[in-house]
Amino acid sequence: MNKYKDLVSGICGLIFSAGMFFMSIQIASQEDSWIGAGFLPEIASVIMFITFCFITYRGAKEAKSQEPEKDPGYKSNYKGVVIMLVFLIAYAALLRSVGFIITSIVFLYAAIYLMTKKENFKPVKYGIITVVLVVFVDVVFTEVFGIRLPGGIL
Amino acid sequence: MSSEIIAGILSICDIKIMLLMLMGTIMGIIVGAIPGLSVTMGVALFLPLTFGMEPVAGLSLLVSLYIGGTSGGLISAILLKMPGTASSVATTFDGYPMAQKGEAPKALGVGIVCSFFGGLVSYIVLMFLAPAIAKVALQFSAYEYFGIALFSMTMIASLASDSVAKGIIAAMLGMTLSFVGIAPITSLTRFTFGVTDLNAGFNILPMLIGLFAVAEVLTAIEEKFKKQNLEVRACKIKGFGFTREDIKGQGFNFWVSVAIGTGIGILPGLGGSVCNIIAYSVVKNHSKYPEKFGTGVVDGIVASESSNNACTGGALVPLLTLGLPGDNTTALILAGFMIHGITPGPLLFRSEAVLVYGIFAALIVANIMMLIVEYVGIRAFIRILSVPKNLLLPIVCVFCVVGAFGTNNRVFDVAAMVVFGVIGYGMKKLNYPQPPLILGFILGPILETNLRRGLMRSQGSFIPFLTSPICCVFLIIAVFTLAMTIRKEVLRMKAQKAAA
Repeated sequence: MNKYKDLVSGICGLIFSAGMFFMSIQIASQEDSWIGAGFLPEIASVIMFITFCFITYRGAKEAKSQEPEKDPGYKSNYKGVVIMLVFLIAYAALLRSVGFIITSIVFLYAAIYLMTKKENFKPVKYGIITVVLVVFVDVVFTEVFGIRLPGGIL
Repeated sequence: MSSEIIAGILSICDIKIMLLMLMGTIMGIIVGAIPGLSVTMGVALFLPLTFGMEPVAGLSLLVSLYIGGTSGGLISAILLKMPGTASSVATTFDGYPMAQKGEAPKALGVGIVCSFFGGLVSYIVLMFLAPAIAKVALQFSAYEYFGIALFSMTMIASLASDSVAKGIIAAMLGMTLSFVGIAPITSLTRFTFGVTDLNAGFNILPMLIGLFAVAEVLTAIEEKFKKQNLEVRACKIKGFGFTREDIKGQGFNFWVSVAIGTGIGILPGLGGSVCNIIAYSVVKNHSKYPEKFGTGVVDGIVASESSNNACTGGALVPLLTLGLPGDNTTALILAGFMIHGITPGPLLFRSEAVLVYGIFAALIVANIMMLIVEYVGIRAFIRILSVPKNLLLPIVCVFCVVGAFGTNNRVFDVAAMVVFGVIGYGMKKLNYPQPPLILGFILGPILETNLRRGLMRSQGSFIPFLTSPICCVFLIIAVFTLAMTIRKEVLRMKAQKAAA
């Protein structure tokens, strides 16, 4: 799979830079001056397009090669990455409505559970750490630094 | 003049002022170390407190916060790969790999000492050469700024470790991200897709936190079963954590970085976020072992930390001599002057000479306090590394969220941080370097604003960009750097082909 990295990123990049170029033209058309808000985005998208062409070409050559892929030396835990991302998205989405304290406690406990081997997980100890830490952070930021973190339902 | 210098020094020799400065330095280090709490925020928090103080006391407190905050960013950059401030970005490149290798005390020690000496040299420069330097800086127009920004962009090559092409793409992506929001000069809205929160563009702090810290957390989860990632690295520390042998041959790196930091600091609008990356690139380019940069070499920390603290002295030159703040923090320090009825400018050195030299003395004393506080603190800072990663990384995530939210009190910034985390993780997986993206994001608006401003001034002609001597020199250096980069890349590819 590793040998297709450049090819895939190159093709995605070509689509992205082409899209950006057309959007930049639309921006430029809204102004009278040729050196308007769309000028530099146009240049950036052209540079990106040319460079992505080079990456794609190199990626295609690499993909054709028959060299065996290198073993990274560990088993990738992509499932964990996806779960963590879901946790982070839910954390960001619920932060305003539910509040900092509750969302942070739930997130922290869940993330610690995700990152700890099942046999080493200590529910009570980690639960106490989670609650104490989140309340401490909330108090320090609110009282000391004057940053009001979302209160939510509390 | 000597009597004014002595009177200035004596004006801060008061236990109350000393305690205020100590408090300012400690608070500065704390706000600098916590991503999301910027130096600007620290100065803004303490500005109202200075209302009732004597001018020298209030301003000493503000400059202490400024110095502590600029240096404090190195702590989280080295220990957690989370740059506390934009001026510590380059510190993560070698600081974090050193911490991973069990050399956190050495990295912290070198960073602290370089911060101290970098700051000290720039304050001495400020003290004796400020009015003369300010006159030169005032000659800089849009053409010169464009030349410097373009030259800085060519530094991408040295920040891209594997492939220059990928470095260029990352830089262009960074520039593209800087285009989001209201365009400079004409105020036209670009790439916002109807999202109101995007009108103000992306803030650099959620971007830094996402690209570095969140991406690091995701990588650590992916490598969960790679044994070394769950190991606790015990570190012992003696003195500043490094020996004379460790910093042997760093003199050139230090002086070049200090010159870059002070020089860039003098120019309003550039600042610490640019100079640390430029200094890192220049030092890497001149190194005998550039391939080792990014794997944990002391040279990278020397470059980054001496330049960003040297920048603080440089940034005060236009503020004190011309009344021009270079960035948000110096703008708040300017407000500190104004609330005491003092207007910085060319006459300040005559009308308020004792106060000016009092501030110079305060800068040097605060710098010494920063050194002592961080020296004492090293032992406490490295304890962070003894927290098991399965606990540390989720806690880092919570701090990331608080930091991103605290930037503008917007949940949008938290969402942006997560998105940048995914981008950073993707870039790592696809071997695209992250530092050029930051450089592109910082330099994009400077480049665009000055290009458009210059072309408006010259009614669309590029000739003044070439006839301005300073701009022309920078453009020639930029073309030369680009040509050398392409040559290097071609040679590297040929060598790879030959090896295969």
